[in-house]
Amino acid sequence: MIRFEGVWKSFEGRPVLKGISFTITPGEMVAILGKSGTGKTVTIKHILGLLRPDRGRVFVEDVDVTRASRRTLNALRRRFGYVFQGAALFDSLTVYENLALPLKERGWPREKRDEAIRWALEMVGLGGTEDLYPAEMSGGMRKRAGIARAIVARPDYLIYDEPTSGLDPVTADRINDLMLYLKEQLDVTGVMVTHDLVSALKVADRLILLEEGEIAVDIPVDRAFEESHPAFRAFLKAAGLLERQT
Amino acid sequence: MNLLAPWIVKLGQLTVLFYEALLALREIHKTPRLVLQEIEKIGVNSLPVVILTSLFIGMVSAVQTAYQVKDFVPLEYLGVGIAKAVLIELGPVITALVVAGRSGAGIAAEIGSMRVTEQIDALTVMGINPVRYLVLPRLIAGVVSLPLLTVFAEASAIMAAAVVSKVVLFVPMSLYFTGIQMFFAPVDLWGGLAKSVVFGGIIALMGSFHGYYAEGGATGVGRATTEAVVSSSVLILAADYILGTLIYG
Ligand SMILES: Nc1ncnc2c1ncn2[C@@H]1O[C@H](COP(=O)(O)OP(=O)(O)OP(=O)(O)O)[C@@H](O)[C@H]1O
Ligand SMILES: [Mg+2]
Repeated sequence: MIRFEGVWKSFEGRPVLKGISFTITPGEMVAILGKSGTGKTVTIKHILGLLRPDRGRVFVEDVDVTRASRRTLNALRRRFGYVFQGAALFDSLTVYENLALPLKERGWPREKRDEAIRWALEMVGLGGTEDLYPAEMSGGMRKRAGIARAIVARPDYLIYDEPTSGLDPVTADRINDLMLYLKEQLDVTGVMVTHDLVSALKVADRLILLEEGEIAVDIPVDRAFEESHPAFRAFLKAAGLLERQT
Repeated sequence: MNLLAPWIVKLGQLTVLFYEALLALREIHKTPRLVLQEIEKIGVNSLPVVILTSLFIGMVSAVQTAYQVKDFVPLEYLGVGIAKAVLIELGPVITALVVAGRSGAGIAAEIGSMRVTEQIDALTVMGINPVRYLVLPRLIAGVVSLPLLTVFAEASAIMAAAVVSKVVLFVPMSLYFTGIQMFFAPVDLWGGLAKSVVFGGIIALMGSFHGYYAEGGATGVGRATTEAVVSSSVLILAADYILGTLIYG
């Protein structure tokens, strides 16, 4: 369970989040939508204490992330996978080493590591790229390697920051299927930030629309087409999904 | 007051970073390979440029010392003057300034680009302490490499000066070296090396600090690099004065 309680955050006096509250229940996948620059990335960076709120609290299960000790926080972090918007692969390490790092940190033995790495790369369609450096890969490949690194340790929670942006539609759909699989078969709880409404509708259970630092819409995915909030409808319309319904 | 505030914040951040690096020493056994890698980058790879600059420093010292003392002091004391200047000041300081320009900038650029591309966040969410993983190995490498580089620099400078003394000033090498031996004081050597340990710490810490708190994309990394070199150069000279006073004053 992940819970935000009235989270405020500003940068240099400019408010970005204005009292965000929501809860993600176990096994649920929530998609956060919103225009570029509305604070989606800022929101999810609060979950693992990468950013600290000016006001409000963030809970993961019963841990108050905003006050937890570093030891508690690190134990918690190891149960998460985090896909960064720009992949954030370590430039000085190969794909294999990038994936091995979190496993080594957890003390996994070599054989178990190799098997997990093979599995994760296979899942994102990057089998055979173990020895490449990030600079030798395309943007979409890096993104997928970032996803592989996030899932390699079989986390209980996943945070995806635009997992399908920059991917071709076929690969994007493969990633959607992967996210579904992780949610349904491995029971992962998660949150995805995305502009890709098709992906959100396919994978998420709930949609949250962020606007001007506030939650404008928070609805189950099957009510998406009944929602009347203009900003949300604008999203549907821009994705070309509105005509089909009405 | 408003003018001071950013400096106080920076000083606070610097202190915290240094303190966290010291705390992370407890976990250093987890990353011995990184320390060796950094020693290679900061120490081994700096050796050619350090030796090259030291050769010229030695040559210049010979000519300058001879020019200044030749009418008052017999030239058999030439070696002594040069050696003392090299061991106490020139060796440690020039080496540190060269390495600050080379490795200090490199450290800031590496860590800075990791900051702006979220790689430091990625370490954090893996439960890996970025200070342990990035800052501590560089700090250790700086502290270990600088005195070693300084020894090479001093040897090169003194040898180069010996050659110039013989070829240009006609001071026989045996005379040059007996002079050095006669007046050699161990504190000249140890004092200089002690300073270089501190200089190595300054270079690594300033590089790490400016990289670690870099923000604003590639421009920010560029700025961090410049600031790392400028601040470590100034601090090296300031520390040289303070340590010189403590050791030799
Ligand atoms: N470290 C920071 N320092 C200053 N301002 C920041 C920082 N991080 C984010 N911001 C600001 O917060 C706002 C929200 O940024 P955020 O990255 O969350 O946007 P986003 O919703 O993820 O957009 P996108 O879809 O383009 O990724 C932006 O206006 C940005 O300028
Ligand atoms: Mg974003």
